[in-house]
Amino acid sequence: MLPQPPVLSVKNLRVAFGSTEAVHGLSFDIHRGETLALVGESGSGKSATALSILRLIEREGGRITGGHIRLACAKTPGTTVEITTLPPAALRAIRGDRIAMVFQEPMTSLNPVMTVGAQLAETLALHRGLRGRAARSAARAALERVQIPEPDQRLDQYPHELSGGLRQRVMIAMALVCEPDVLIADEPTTALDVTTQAEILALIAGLQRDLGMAVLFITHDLGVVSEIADRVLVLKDGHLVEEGRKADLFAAPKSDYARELLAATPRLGGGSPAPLTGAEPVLVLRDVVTTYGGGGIFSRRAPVKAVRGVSLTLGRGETLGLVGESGCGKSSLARTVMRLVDPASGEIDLLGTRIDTLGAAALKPHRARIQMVFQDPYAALNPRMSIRDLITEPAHLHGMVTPRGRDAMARDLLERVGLPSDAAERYPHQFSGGQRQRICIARALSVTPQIIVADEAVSALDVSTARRVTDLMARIQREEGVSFLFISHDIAVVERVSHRIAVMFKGEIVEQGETAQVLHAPRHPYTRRLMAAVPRADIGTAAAGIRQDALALT
Amino acid sequence: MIPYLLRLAVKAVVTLFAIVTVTFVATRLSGNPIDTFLGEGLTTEGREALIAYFDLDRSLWHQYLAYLRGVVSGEFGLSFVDRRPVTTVVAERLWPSGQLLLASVALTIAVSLPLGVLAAVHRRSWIGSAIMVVAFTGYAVPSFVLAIVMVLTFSYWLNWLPVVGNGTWQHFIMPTIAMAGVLIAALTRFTRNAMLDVLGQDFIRTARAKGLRETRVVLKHGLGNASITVISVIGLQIAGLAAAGSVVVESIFSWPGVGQMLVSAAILRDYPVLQFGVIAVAVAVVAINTLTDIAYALADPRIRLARA
Repeated sequence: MLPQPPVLSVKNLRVAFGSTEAVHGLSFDIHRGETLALVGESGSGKSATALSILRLIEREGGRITGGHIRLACAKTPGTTVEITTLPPAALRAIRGDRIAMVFQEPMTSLNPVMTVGAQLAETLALHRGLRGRAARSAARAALERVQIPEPDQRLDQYPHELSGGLRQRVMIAMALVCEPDVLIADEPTTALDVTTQAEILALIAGLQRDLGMAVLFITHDLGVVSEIADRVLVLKDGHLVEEGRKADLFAAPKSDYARELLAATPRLGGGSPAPLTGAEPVLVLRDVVTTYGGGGIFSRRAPVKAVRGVSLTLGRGETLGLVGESGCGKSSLARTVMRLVDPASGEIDLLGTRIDTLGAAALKPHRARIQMVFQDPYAALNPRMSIRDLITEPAHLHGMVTPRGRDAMARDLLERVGLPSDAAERYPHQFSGGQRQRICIARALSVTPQIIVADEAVSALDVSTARRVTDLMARIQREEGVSFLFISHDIAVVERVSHRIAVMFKGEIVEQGETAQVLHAPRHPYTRRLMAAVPRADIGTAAAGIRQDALALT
Repeated sequence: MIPYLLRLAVKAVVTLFAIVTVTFVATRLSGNPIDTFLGEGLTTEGREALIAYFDLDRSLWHQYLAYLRGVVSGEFGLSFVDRRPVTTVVAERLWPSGQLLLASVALTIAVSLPLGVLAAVHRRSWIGSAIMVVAFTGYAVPSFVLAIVMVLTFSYWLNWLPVVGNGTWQHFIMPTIAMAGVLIAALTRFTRNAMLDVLGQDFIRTARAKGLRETRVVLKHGLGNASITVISVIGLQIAGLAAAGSVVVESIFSWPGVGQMLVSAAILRDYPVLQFGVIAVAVAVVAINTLTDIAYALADPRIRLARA
């Protein structure tokens, strides 16, 4: 059999932002029906590469400084179109027709003031000249193709009326409406819950089979790669460090970086800390209920129950992992424990004191005993404060440090979280995401809390960085006996750090117990569904592939 | 949409009731309005008669109820100057003011939306900078300075345009520009910022990835979203203009509108006209705000549908 010419061929691509080169000479080919995964952590140049293929990079402040991007010509087989030098009109003819893109954020990637139907029809009018009824029926067919229920009704809806998963389906429908030769999917499932992610991955794989298109799949998640890719490119700092078939990469990575990445990727069944015995309880929740809204004079709506009767116990020196999908109430529970919102009913017992009934003044000394680390380390630090002031502020507010002692305290805290002590003089923007999260942990530690609530604290970080941050948390726990309430949507990360696990679903804890026990023998159907949806980086087991049957749960 | 409109209507009625009440309280707080407005030189009998006429010898509660009855039945009393009902006096001033306001708003939108969009699209080139320099300068020039400079240039020296009255279309040119000047500057800046914000969003990249022309990306997807914030500002600014700008500009150009009437009523101490004039302006502001809310809902399905 003769080798098929590639549908898209990238040769020696260089991309620069200003005077900084982000991609240093990348080459790869994609063939019809193939899925090529482009893997790397933030700053690896994977998104810059994706945006360069349609030359959208020019609108994002970057430019292609060298190399070729060649698309197989549709009309005369054997010839190619050079995208890097294509005039604007010809480039627009390719965009959305022969090469289409799906982006990461389904919440913001659709125009909020246009109906779904109008956004689909726009592409059809542009590339197919379809208008009116013909456009509508083609748009309807596009929604049917991505298995959106009630497509007729959806056409007249606006994006905000749809869930995240449905919006991403609409994005995919829009990208595929002209049946492109190449689909570029830039982290299309990163913003979605695992169960939704599994559905979307299955959908893309199925559509690829039907349409025979080539897929360039950009992701940071090796678990996702193992689900979807045929071949994999691993990028680091704009360089290609490894290329090969998926099975080879997972079985025998050639480069050090790929090995490191594989080691850092949390995988389900990778083991968990042994459960503690006889740990003295430091935080006890009894039947806690948290509600939002419903109090207004003009509002006749009943209050929304975000947390419905949750009872939990956290022992000294223990990590309790709280898992659940977005909207399940886990962040509301964290805010309730912190008394950032007041519970509607139930009891919160912190180190033997009931804090749910305390007033603001009486509560203040107790606040030092429980601290929080948030998801977004960029938003959680005031950019105008020095690191010294930031990390000693809680201690200062609680009168635990003299103004003169703040410097020494800052240096000590920085050392404990593995940052150089001269960092005290600097400001947040001078640090990377992982370093900032260490700074947030240092800030929490400044008042020597007994409990730290970590709400998705490593979710925004790259896998290798997240690994180092969770290792740091484990060390702090070992050395200082701090208890963690570790909240995450990522069950594999939770497994790695937690002595015990609680699974939250629709505001309730549906299952809790020792980590290994819950994960090996999940009793609740939701826990089983959650685990089935987790992509596994352990290729070669019979479990690889999309476990569609396991997702079917009413 | 219907429940949303009902809410707006209830809001407007409540606001109007509050305005009417505050007007009543404010005039009574400042002491006997007869003394405040008519000052010295009134005979004792004349003063007594006026006090009785305005029910000022009765209890506050009685006065308030009588006042509310008047408001509901449209009885606001007679002008001191020509003894005509104040409602008639104000009514004949409304249309000239409304015309001037509409002309200014139309000019503002016609000029500042394109300028703002251009400034956003060409933010890194000299075009964008030039537009912003003009906008900032314009913002610093008060309407009366602009009016006086225009009168000197186009009427006194060049003798191209009439100054006083509202007879022909030429009469509209200078007052309209004087009223719209600051507004154009403010709205250009605002449109630019709203556009910059929207053009940086993800769905703009999606639109480009579809292969759309840049003009359609900017106008349909960009301005379509930016208009939501721009509308709210236009509404606020028009309301402010109706309340304050017209007083200055109408006085300068002797425009026979509500603003000029308020000034002369104050000078002549025509208290009933003044009181009703203030209420009329307040009603206009509430009406403009309500229209803004409706336009806002039409532009943004998230608002329209959230309450339906």
